[in-house]
Amino acid sequence: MTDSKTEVEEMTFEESLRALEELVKELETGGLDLDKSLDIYERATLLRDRCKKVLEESERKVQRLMETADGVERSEFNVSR
Amino acid sequence: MTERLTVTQFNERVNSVVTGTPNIHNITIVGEIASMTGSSAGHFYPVLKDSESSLRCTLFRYSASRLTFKPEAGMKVTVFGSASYYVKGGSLSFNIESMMPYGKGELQAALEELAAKLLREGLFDADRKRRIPAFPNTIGVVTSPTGAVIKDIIDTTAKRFPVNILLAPAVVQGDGAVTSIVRGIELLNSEDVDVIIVGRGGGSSEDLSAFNTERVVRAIASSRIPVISAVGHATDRTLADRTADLYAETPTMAATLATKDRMEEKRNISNLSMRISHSLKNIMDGMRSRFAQIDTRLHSNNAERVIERYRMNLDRLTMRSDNALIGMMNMYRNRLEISEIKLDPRRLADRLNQYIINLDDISENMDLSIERNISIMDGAVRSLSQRLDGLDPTKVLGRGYSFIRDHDGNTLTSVSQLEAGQDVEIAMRDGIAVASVKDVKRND
Repeated sequence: MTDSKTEVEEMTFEESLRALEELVKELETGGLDLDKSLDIYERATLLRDRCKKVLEESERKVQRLMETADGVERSEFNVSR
Repeated sequence: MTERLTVTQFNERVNSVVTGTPNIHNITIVGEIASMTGSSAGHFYPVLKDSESSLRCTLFRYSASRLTFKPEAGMKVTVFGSASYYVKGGSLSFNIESMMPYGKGELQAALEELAAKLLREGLFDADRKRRIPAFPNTIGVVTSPTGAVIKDIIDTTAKRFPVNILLAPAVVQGDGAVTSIVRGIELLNSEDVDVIIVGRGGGSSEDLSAFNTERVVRAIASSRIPVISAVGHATDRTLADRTADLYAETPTMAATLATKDRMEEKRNISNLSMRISHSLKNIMDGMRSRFAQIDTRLHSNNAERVIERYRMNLDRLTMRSDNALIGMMNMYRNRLEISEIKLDPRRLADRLNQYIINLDDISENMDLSIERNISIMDGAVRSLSQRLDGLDPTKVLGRGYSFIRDHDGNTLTSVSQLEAGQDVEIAMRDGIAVASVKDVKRND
């Protein structure tokens, strides 16, 4: 379970969303036994939490590139308003 | 006294007049190219003219290299530049910074020629367009670091989705725009970005020329990262717009196309969660009802109840049918009898006779049964007397046994009832002997 959790934590938003959509489809198709259904549910919950976490994160970088004698550098960029 | 100057002094004074007069600097002149001569250093000396006058011009190598067309004599052009006085030679010249074919016709012709060439190469083909990633991690932007474009992109993405922005500052119009834009695209291609927006602000539509140059178009076409262009106008798409993987009318639109809406994604995920819960609930309900059915079937009380219910139903049905049948039969019989009697009085006599006969039968049967009972009782009496015979003590005495009584006639069965010197009677089959107890010995 820990492995699966770590794996989900490292997924991008898109990867976890796609995986989540697949699981929902699988679950809705039916014909699964209870154990398998619960496994899927557990993983789907992890994926959902991962997606939500990414969406809740508002932290992001706004940077600019600058060409210097030493090459290209990045620096924080603030819009002059 | 009239002032006397050297040639140089005069030329310098003219130069200062030329330099200090604003309305002959940074102006646009329209004219026809009368002649076009070049120097070994790469500079050009075109002469412009109109119907009345001519003007000597200078086109330095640097400016000449940025021309998007080949100027030729007879061509009508628009030139941008300033008056410049050559002090040593005492000549005035117009220093051309940029030159473009004049008029919509010629400008359009040059553009169409380039467009046709790029089209033949397949640079605008739909199957060259790459998919813009749905959820980019970093968006690269090639635009001016000042102005509304970058601000709009930062603001729009901030509202929509948490995505990093990496700006490659560029000049988007005027001198150096082409080189600057191309460099920006190249720089971002060596960075870790998922999509590039090449943007230019709204406002003036005059100078879209950089985005109609072959160099910018080729830079976009060869970008390994998908490009969204946001430089044109709705009515006037640039070649850059046609080459880009996706075209947006405004930078805000470009930022919207490059990102998903956070709230929409949240709703989508909530919806998916609901679908999961719903499916799981269905599965659980299915399991539960199956168990419940089996459980009910297995329960013994329930089985009894079910059987009891069936039995009662059966009884009720039987009773009802019996009652109905009996009732019906009785009714019919009564009605028959009544009608018979009514119809024929003799039938009554017959019926009475029948009753009498029946009565006889019954008494006969009774006699027989009494006789049978008597014989049964007889047998029982015999058996009982035989059993009683077995219990008659006198019959036992006949077999050699005797018993002892005290003088009151009580049968003695224990030595504890005897003592030495006591008189007793010994009863035998055919008489009594009177005896006296000599001693008493108890079995240990």
